[in-house]
Amino acid sequence: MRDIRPVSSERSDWGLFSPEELFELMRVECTRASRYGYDLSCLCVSIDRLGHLQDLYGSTSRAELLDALHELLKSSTRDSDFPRCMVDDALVALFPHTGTAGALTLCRRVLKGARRLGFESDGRPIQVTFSIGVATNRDAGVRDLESLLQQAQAGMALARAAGGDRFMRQEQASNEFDQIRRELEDLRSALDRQGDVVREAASVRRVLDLADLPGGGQALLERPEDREFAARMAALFGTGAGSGPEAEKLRQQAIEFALRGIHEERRRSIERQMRENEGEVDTLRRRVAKLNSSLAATEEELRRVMALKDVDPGVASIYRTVQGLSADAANAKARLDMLNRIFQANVELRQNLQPGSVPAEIRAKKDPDHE
Amino acid sequence: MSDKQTKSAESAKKDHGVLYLGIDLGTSRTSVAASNGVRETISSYVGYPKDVVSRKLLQKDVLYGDDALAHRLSLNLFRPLGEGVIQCKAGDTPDSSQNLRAARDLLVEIVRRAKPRKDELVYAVIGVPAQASIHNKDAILKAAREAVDSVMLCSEPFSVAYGQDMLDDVLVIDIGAGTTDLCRMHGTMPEDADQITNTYAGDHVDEELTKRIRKKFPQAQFSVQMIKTIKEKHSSVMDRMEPVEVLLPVQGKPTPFDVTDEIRQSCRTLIPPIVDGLSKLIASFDPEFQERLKNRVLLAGGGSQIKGLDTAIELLMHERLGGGRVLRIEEPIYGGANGALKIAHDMPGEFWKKLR
Repeated sequence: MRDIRPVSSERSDWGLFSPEELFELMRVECTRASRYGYDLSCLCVSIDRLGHLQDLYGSTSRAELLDALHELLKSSTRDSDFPRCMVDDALVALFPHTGTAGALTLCRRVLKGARRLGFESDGRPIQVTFSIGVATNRDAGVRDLESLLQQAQAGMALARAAGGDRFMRQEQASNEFDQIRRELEDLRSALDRQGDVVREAASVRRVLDLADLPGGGQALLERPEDREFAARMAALFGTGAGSGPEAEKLRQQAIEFALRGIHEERRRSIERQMRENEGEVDTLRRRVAKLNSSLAATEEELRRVMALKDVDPGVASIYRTVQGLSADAANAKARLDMLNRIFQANVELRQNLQPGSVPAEIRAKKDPDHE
Repeated sequence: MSDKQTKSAESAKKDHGVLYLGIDLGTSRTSVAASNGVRETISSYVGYPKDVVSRKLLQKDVLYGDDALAHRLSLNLFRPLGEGVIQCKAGDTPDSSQNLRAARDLLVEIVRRAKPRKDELVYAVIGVPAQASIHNKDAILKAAREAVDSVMLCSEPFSVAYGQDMLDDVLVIDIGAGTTDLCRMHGTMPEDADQITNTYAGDHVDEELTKRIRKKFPQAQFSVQMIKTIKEKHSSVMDRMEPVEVLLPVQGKPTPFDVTDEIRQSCRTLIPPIVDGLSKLIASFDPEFQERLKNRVLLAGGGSQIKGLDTAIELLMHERLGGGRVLRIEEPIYGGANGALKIAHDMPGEFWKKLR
């Protein structure tokens, strides 16, 4: 905000006060609201793409648009006057006795009114939208006029960054920021869960691959109960059939035939199970791919919001293997003694400054032979 | 005690979630070295916009360092540290509280510049002048309380020596802007008798240079800041130094002035008080180790960047003490901060927790 000025000094309703006087009036209003404990809202309204519109339609369009903004705000509010002034190209206005709900209603009314504004240039209609930042004296962190204005301006910047034609509160943006973070955490845990299922499915697939079905896989097809079955068949033939090589051959063929049938049935069952598993793995892979893209989009959104809010994640500390002085360090004993004395000196300093605030265990440490 | 603590420190696991800082809170510059690899330094100036208009112009509530200096006409400018300590006296005078607020903001800013993560605790060791009063230490602790989670103070020259791993039979000369600290290290924690502080430091050179230039060129116009810039660029005590010609306005017209001799003479005013202090510390040391002490003099601080200062001190030591060897540390700006960081890192974790 480099410039503080009325829209037009010729207009009686703008030009009565200098910008400094307007700010002073606002400050008085703010102090009064704080003293008597009533609600006070601040709206910071800017015309979206104003510079662009001016480039397209000439400099007179700018003044017209700003005047229209002012008229719209006046017509959308009650008759009583309210302190307002232009800061850069944004209209800053204070609304005494207007709480959060009232301010938001006013914002909706102004946005609606903006869409109905009829501008024309060379016969072509110009669509105008506003970005509005809202703050009230009940918002967290609002202590005085400066912080109130700051929050309203931050809200306006957020509304503008989000594409305009909307109103935003910095507090609301913080909540959205927290919401995105929570969603991101939920997505991460969902991904972890899905990852477990995929890994499990993949391990089943690996077993089946190892079995090398349908060409091989004897380990899966032949089971211990087959031997018991063969023995029972042999016993059955032994009791009912005659002896001799023919009977023996017949018995062997019957057993082999029966076992082949059983193995074939098992093979079909395993193949059916494999197809089902493959379908499930495929579904899960698709789900994971979608969750990954959703996660990437959310992370991108989070980065954007962090950049918008000027959040610096910081640089993590580079940790050493050992915290504190390593016993291998040169002169470790002497250095540890020095460190201990620095600590003791700091404890004594605090004791001297605030007697009684230091825990007794620290006082006990004052004795160098303690331990 | 020591063995037990060494073992306990050795067995301690990595304590993730802690950022260690070494801070050199200086009159002229404030430097920080952090355990995340970040190193930053800013001029110790804090400025607050004078009114709403300047606030709107500057877009900030507080400006720091060179940024504050550049906009000083729109700001209430504070240099919260003078002679190495926070400029506040006992009692709650307006000046004291403003300086305390500026010092607190400066610390908050230097900690912010160390880029701590939001989820990390910040433990800091702050270097203070060797003979800072208890009142000044209290002021620094108060200022630090909002910026960090646990803080310890230690003597600046000691932190320089600790950072250089020179703890035995060493004399440290730490030339700052407000004070020059001399400290004798003999393998244990230095006591009051091992430390001497005087005010023949960077600011003194500025004053001397101002007086000399004003006397020789009364028509020249300049500010303290201009003098400081000239000094930082050309300071030298060498007999054969490059001629220094600076442009200073005379009735609005930039005019060249040769200030070579003024700079040399002003910088040389530091040498006798330093050698006086060294003589006292050496003479009161065990005679058997005096020779070793003389040959291990460590020159640190921003003032150590004066060209030829080490040789000039050696020459005067030779004349008065029969010999001596002065070593200049490699990083004058970060010497104190690096040492303080090393102390912070080596300090057992339990100590930090007890001072939270």
